[in-house]
Amino acid sequence: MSSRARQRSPLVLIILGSIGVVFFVMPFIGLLGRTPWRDLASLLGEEIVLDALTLSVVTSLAATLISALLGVPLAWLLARVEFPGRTLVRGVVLTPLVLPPVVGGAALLFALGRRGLLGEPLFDATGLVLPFSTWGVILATTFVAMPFLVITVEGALRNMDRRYEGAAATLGAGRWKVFWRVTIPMISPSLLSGLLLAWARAFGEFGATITFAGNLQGRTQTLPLAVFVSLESDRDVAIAISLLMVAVSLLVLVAMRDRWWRPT
Amino acid sequence: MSKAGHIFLSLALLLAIGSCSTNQAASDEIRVSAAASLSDSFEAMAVAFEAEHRGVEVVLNLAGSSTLREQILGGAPTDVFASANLSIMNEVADVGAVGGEIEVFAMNQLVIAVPAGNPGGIDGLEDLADDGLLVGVCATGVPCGDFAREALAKAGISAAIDTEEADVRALASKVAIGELDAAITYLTDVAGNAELEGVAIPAADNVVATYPIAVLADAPNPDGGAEFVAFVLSTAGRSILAAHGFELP
Amino acid sequence: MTGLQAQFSLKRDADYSLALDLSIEPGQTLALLGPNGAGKTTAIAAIAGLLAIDTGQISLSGEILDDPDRDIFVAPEMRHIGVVFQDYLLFPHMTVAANVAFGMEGNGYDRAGARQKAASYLSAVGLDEMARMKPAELSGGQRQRVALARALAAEPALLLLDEPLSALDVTTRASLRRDLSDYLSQFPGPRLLVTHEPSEAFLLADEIVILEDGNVTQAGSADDIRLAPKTDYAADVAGSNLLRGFARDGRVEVGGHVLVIPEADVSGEVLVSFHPSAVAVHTSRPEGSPRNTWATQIERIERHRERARLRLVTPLPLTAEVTTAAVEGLGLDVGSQVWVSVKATELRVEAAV
Repeated sequence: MSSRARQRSPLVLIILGSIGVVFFVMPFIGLLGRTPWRDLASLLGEEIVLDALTLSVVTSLAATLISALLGVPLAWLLARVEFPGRTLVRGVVLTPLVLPPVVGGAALLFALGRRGLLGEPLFDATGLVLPFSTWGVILATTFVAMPFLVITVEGALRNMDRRYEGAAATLGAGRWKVFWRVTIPMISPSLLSGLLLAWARAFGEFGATITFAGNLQGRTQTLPLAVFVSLESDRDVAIAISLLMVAVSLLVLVAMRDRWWRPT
Repeated sequence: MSKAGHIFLSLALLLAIGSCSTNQAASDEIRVSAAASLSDSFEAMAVAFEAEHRGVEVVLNLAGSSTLREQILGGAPTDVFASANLSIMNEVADVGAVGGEIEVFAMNQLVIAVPAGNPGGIDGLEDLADDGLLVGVCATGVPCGDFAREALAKAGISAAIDTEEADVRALASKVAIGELDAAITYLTDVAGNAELEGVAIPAADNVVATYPIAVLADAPNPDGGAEFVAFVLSTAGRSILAAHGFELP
Repeated sequence: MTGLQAQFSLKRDADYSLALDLSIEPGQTLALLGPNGAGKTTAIAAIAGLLAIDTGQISLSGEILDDPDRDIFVAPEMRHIGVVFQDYLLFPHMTVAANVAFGMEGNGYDRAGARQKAASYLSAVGLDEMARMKPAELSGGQRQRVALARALAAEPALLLLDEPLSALDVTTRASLRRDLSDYLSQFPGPRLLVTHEPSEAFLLADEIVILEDGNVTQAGSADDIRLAPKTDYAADVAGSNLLRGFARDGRVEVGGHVLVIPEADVSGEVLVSFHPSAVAVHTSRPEGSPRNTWATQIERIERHRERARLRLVTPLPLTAEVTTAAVEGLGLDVGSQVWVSVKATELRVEAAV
């Protein structure tokens, strides 16, 4: 009785929603249909795949770590400190969310490249070249990924009940202790989902990476770059890598299911 | 269903129909997929062609030849394909996707592109083995990348490569802004560019790139495609290619 | 100087400001009583250092904590002021024990020592078995006791309690009020209790300050306020007579005197309250005498507009409210022998524990 009553959703919504489902499922079916299943194991064992997988894991985790290290304080500034131009700063920080990653990569090249605004003095002083290096990959992915963390954590900092911080202060806790023992634990669900979003974005990053860091197997060729390059040389490898990325993404999403997107 | 529901659904259907209809290209539109190294010359070519054929629009799709091959094999509506090497054109032809004759319309050579002033002090292919320099080539599978490896192999040099770019335009622009000290590109990429200088590769090591063009079997506008190919092969077309540094067959 | 001295004002926005003047000696409990929105929580925040004052001074044990004129502001974490917040603000991500230990870490205890001491505070409030639970798993009354233990564990010099009982249901409130009274009496420093509940103020405090619309309208002992309320609010909320006694079979024994109450089924420790206007005053023994009738003597008379409040001492300490016309008509004066009566139906009886 009650389950029949609950099914009375508008028909239009059911139709359009189903089209939406098909829209998302079709590409995966397409990918699975083209997968060379028999050779999959040996394809995934190829050096280009293993190199890219290692590099992707290392750089995406490094980008997530840097995003946390800089992004949480940045979110704090935006949420808690009144300063002139705060809105502008927030706008700039969140721009990579809408900017085509290629543009971000090019902008990084102009700023931090060997002939870039900051990169040139850095190169002259230390001989350090960021583009075409693994650090360049980390930099490019951090640039694209960190805004996801900042926007999530800033919202959490604004929404949290700040009276808990006051309560901690009356118990003798200084600002640093309040931050670590009260603020961070209380925003941890948002922090966690911010980290996950940033990681996911970093893991799938392509445009900024290939533009700023270039493409070299073992040094700057992450999984998405390897897919793109293999599409032109060895399509089966490209499909195998794509499948690998889908699997890793699903794994992470399922693992985080209860903390992040809560099914009811 | 409510009235609002009807309107909503009709709108959705209209959108669906509208998006389908764009698959049937209008006869006044010619879709040309051309290798990235043809970018400048084919943009000039399109302008000249449109000037002769009033009301016709040439839509250019410029990318690495192998990317274009994937698009064509994936069913992207295309009238004309101009590739940077014969083997990619042959791969398209092998699956029956080429409709007309395959014609070679231009040739190109490799050169070492360096930023204006040659800050890396590059004299020849042997300098590309220097670990201290930032050296780029095109990715394997892209014609300019395969040619570059061929040239390096002929010269017996194991280059210290720092990046394998997806197409020759991206590669050349990274040299132009000084982020790379040297890259193996086509002569035509350097010819028209004040930010780049070319360091010659001796004929013994060099590779001649051959550019074939053809109308495709599934061309939505085969007649327009044939007209465009004819224009590229005509005197007018040849002079545009020559002006951009291509050698002519 | 000992204890707390707070004489300050602060403005939070255009239509809200607070001016407060109070001092509390060590071992003394002062209740800040006022309607909701009077500024009581703001007063707590200012004294705790969570808000800065605009003018005036706050000092504790001779140390100035906030004085804008001298440019002194001591951060809340340096004030050694324990606060029990209205909704307790227990850290939801920590266990009960960690909550209590929080204020002790870095306060002369290492982490293990703090945990150990926290356990003893928890057992003092009867919650040692809850140590490993999260606050969300506790009942309201248990949370309140954890909040109190947490505040006391930091060994503060002053204890502030913001509506400590208001979040609890009526039955829990009665028993916790008794416990709170015990805990307060064990705390050696000054104690400030903020409440909108007159009975809490009367039962727990030595002195009461009434706050209305951000201003102190009256200060004094419970007796002072009951006898001579200066505002309508004071007369209204602070007007109740409150007696503690032992109930059995529809009767309450209060200090050797027996009152008849309407509820026959109540027994044990109870609080009996009734409004001063429920006390009828006669110059002779009333006819057909209601059962709660006895002779007494007027100790004081306070007039407030057309009403007068009479302070009666023996056998029960009571306040009676009559019209000033009645005072004149009956020829009442200090020292007059009168008869008083209270209808059983006017008595409110609630369990004291």
